[in-house]
Amino acid sequence: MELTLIVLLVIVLALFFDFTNGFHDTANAMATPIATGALKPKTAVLLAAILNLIGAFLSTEVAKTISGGLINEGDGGVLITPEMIFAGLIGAIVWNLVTWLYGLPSSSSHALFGGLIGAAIVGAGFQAINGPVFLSKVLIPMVAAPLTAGIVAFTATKIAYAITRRHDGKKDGRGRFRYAQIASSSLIALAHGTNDAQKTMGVITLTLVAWASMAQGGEQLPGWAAVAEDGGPPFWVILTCALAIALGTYSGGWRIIRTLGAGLTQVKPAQGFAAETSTAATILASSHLGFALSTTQVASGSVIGSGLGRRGSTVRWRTVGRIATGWLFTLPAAGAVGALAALIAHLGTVGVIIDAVVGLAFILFIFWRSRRNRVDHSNAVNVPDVAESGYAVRIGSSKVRKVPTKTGTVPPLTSVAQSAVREDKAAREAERRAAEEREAAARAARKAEKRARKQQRQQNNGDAR
Amino acid sequence: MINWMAFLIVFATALASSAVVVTLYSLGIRFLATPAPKARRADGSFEPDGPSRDDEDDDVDDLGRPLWATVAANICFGFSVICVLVGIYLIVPALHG
Repeated sequence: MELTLIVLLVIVLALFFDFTNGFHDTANAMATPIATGALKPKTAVLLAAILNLIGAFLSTEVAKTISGGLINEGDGGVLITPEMIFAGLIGAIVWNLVTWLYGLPSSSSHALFGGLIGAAIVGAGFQAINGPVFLSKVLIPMVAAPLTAGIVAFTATKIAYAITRRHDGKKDGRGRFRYAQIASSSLIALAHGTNDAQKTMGVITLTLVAWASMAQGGEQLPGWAAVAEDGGPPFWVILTCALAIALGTYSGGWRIIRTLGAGLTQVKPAQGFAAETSTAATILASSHLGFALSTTQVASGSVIGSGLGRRGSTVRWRTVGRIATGWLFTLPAAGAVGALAALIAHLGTVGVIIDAVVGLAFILFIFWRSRRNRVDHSNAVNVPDVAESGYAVRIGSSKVRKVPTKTGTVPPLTSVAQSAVREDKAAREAERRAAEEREAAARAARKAEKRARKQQRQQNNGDAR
Repeated sequence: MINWMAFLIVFATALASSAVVVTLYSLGIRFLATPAPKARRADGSFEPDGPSRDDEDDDVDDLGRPLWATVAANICFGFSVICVLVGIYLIVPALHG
């Protein structure tokens, strides 16, 4: 009974982790096309969600080890129990939600590894960790991924601008890079679906395997828990994981989209295309040539590199620093939470229930906290600078109208810009009213004075008579 | 322990392939933006060039583009489409086994 409860909780948590993975990573593919206006925000996340769904079904190979070799699993190593996976998932989810709240792109896989490592250390001590693998799979790629992607994107951006730059004052056609952006960002979303959904499938499948091996005593496992003979996941696992990641992607981590699309640097069409192409090329090369790099870190590096490559753009290094700090803390922080959860889970069923309740409370708290400064499709990427981008706002009529510019009609303003307009109007209104009041007061004062003078005159007249 | 060779190969491949894709598409746009041949003035001189242009959101002018430019642009875009197909081939495991 206890084991069944834990397995069920693991499945629920794994699916929720898959969901957070989806909304954490929407930005990798869709932040730049949203920022340049290649895709409308809602269209972009819908496209990414569909491609993630398709991608999840396309992937065939499911992870053979739950921690990617970071923990010495199997013979002579640590037996990863469902409790450990449970605690590790809690750590990963908590860290994913915290980074989301602060709009930091961070690797979901590293969060999962961190949580599992924390739980494994509590269960089996520090020798559970495979040091060399940790170095070669986590630490080195953390530097290599953004650096590689950054250099590639810098070069690609330079090439794109050099080729399309005009010296005769005619139109250079760079707006057309938007069409290519749709293709390149779609490739990233598809690749994400094939890669990331199968991580969760692996977690659930390995949990089911562990359950089967632990319950050999006399307990009969229900039919749905049967794993295919080749170790592949049952169909319901594939289906639910695909749906969870697609739903997560569609709900769009708008905070992270804001960071990648507008927080690091201002993205223009040619630059966005160069960044996305670099991301796609780097991810595909890394997954086919045997040096695994995190999608999130590659995508962030690409945006930074392309920002450095475009003339007249600035990279906000303060934001870069915040993101890098987040990456440094991903493993230890998720690990600490995972370890804590594992400690509590050691109390038995009561501990597991405490974990689940506290975890749920934390999730609800984060969502409640996030409502204080809502970020959604309407304000994720602001209209950057009203004057600079050619967007002009007319004040005077109550509606914010579409404004013709040199490149066509500007779409209706985002809610942030609209509220700015409203505030501006309110300020002018208040100013006008204050001026009116001042004038009225002055008029009243003048009137009173006149009346007093008249009275005086009458009095004088009376005296004279 | 750390496979630096694999890393270098990944780096070189990513750099080369994204450079190729970006070059192809940029060339396509450059060809699309080819202006009409310059008109000769009455005194035999050409119109002077405008200032160098580095705009971000330009669309292309379709007026008077020579046919060869349109053809070249579409060839470039065709190769770009092939690059996308190669990408899909690499992403979908069922296609490359």
